[in-house]
Amino acid sequence: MREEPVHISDAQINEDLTRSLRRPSLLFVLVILALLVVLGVGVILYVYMVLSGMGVAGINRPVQWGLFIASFVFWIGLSHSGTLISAILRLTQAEWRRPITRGAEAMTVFTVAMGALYPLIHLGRVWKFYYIIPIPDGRGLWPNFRSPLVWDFMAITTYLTGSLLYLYLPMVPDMAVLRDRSTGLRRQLYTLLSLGWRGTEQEWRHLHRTLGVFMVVILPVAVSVHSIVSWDFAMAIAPPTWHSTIFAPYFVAGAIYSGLALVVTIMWLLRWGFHLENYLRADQFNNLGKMLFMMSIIWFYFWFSDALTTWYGRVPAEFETLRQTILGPFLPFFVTMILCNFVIPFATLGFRRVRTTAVGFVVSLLINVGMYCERFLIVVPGLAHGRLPFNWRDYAPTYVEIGIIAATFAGFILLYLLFTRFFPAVAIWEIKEGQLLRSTRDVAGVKLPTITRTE
Amino acid sequence: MPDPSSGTRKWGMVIDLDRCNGCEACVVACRVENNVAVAGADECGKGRQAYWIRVERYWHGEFPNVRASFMPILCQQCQNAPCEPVCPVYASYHDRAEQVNAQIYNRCIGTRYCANNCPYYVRFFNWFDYWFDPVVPTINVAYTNPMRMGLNLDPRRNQLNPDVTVRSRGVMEKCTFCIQRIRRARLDVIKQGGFQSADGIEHVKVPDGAVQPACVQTCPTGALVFGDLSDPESAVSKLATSERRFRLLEELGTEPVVIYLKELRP
Amino acid sequence: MRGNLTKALLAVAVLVVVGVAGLYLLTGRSSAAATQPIAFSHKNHNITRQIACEYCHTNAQVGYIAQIPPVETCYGCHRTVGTASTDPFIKSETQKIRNAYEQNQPILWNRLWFVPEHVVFAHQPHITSGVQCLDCHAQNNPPELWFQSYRPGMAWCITCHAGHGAGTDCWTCHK
Repeated sequence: MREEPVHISDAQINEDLTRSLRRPSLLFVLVILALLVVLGVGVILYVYMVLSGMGVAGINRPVQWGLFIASFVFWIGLSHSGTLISAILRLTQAEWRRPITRGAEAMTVFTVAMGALYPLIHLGRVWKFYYIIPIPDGRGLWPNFRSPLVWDFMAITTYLTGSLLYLYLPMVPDMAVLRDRSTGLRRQLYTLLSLGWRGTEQEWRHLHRTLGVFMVVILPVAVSVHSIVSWDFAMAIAPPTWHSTIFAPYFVAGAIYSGLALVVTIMWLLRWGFHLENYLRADQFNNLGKMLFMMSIIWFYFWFSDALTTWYGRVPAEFETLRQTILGPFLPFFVTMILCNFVIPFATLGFRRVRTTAVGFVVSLLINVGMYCERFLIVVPGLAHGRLPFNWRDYAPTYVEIGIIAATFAGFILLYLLFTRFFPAVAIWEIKEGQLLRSTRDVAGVKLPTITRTE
Repeated sequence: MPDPSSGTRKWGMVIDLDRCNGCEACVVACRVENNVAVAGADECGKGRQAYWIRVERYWHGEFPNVRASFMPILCQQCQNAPCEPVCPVYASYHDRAEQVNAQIYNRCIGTRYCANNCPYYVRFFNWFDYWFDPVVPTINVAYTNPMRMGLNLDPRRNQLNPDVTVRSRGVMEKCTFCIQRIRRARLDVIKQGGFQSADGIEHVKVPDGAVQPACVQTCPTGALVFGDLSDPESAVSKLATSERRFRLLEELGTEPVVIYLKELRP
Repeated sequence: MRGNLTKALLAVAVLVVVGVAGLYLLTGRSSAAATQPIAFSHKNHNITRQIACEYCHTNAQVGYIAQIPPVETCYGCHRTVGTASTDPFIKSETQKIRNAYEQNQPILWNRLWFVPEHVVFAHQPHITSGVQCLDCHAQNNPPELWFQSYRPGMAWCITCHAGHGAGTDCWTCHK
């Protein structure tokens, strides 16, 4: 895999990065059709569930929250890293970020969009969902601002809006590039989206300044979103193991971890799918792999601290829940989680050869399999084996839940594929800017690669 | 006319476990009084049955020397209820007038968070519509008069208690200490002019024993006693001071007003 | 081009506003008169003849529901009143009451007033505290449409309750 950046002409960059916007291949169309079928089945199942009642899903008493909420946490977690990694790398002015930012930001928007569906999907009376929105009305009723679900609603809408803007803002110059090179309906779309961008010095200055503010503001928003998702659980005292002070940082760490893994997965797919070998190089995968390696350790550290405290505490209900998780009916999920989240990444990602080859791709996929198990294990065991053993009951999802969840996976892939059909998945201007700033200089007789900074 | 919810009170219940023989008459009475749905055998198998009061049965000893003990569990009407702050829409809230934990069905949107956060498992979700009539599944069915739609009504609908909402699918329900009886008793007191006036505010006081929830009324052994805990002279207050008293999962700090009595046996 | 876009957006906005308003008005109230088995007129009894509401709806003062009067109540007057009317229509309608009474059959009135299933409404406390029947039953309607179906919203209930110190906790109406 190519290590050093190569100089590519501007025309070639335009050509390479807009390749995905051209006429799609047959395979692409077939994939889209297949995804639409899955999505359609999910929508039908959802309508069926709304019309007949939540009982067609596998949830029961006491497992009132099942796979839907596990998937909610999973999707919101995935959303975490896109914006975060892009903002952090922009903030630290890491040059290798340039081909990653756009793809990561788009990933955030689409994963949040999928995650935000779940609170609606799992609602018993979804036609009354607006009760949760603070609208003044003649009845003088307001939502309960003490409820973590209201925080959730606020946080997720803020995050969705924020990351949508954060995706759109750096896209404006690219829209201008596309506007000037397209015709017909597409041209109208890009004209609208480019907001009359001409590329004057002042416009660039405004863009950079706005981005500078945005990436600082979006960081606490990102951290708060997953903290609040964790508080949905941590604020509840009844289900054993939920009421834990470590949940907020533990969820944030897990979210960054799974999100990063998805970024790696997507980068590999973009590289292969759109032949971006000259852009997504060993440099990027190497660095992302190192971050994954670090996050696997951090994730395990948090999980271990939480589990160890519970194990030694021997509070009967909590200990029993943990025992059920580790040695009881949830054993397969537990083993998968530990293997995929810690053992495999920790053992392999230390090697550069893994990080920069297709093995890294497989590991990144496995991490998210593990993370899904982790979300499941957070939600279900505490509910299934609570404080009054008379009420214990296990949980198995039905085809309705599985179909709806599959539809959101299909929906995410579909949105992402359509995004790459209409917008460059790698920021054109960022690559060009990187090339402008990069040069090789003679320092005391040695040729060194250098980077110029704009102030 | 005074506000029917005025006055101070703290409804409470004492359950004498030494008197309970596990007959489950309370379960039946509650079901009839509060229109609690019958979910059917399949749904029961999936854990979707609803009973606002249930009798938990625990076995002691090894066969053949076993002994069963019974524990009726209903909503503990916590004064520091975990289900209340988590509801995003105030469907579950603390009714200050009655000092009872209320659940308003038409406000509930079905997040099921309250049920998750209830350590006593006394909240029940309506997984389906369990109505007797084959109501057309319109979304706002409450406003549609089935008679005007020309439907033949199921005669079983006449067994429903008109003072209690028949819950639709997607909402949470739970024991209300038979609030419909409490409120009816209070209206009766007002009708007879029997409200007190203190410091300019009119207080409605229901005499001790005038209100009994269906479970208390039906308990053949008198194991269940209901009344006002803020009145030191009420039967329930006197029983609540027994040295046999304990409260369920007291360590969680939920401050239940359902008090259990049980003699510790060696 | 830009002008057209503005026009289109404006048109959509107007459509949305009209649609929402129309939906609100349509679902908020319906004044359609239902066909009753007998051409009964509240106006003739209550306004012209000054018969008090409670004369027929006896239960309103003591119970939760006001009660649709039984045949006996109608027959109490109409065994004589209207039987000798010169108007053949009145005569034939009165005959229906007589027939129902003699055959011991109820008159199948169509009930017009419903509160939603999740509302428990009691007449007695309202009447005890001095609310007049027409305060609610004649809302915004000319006399000939009185007592026709009309669905007041919760905001309307709350306004009156809050203004008169009646209970406004949810359990007052939702049980």
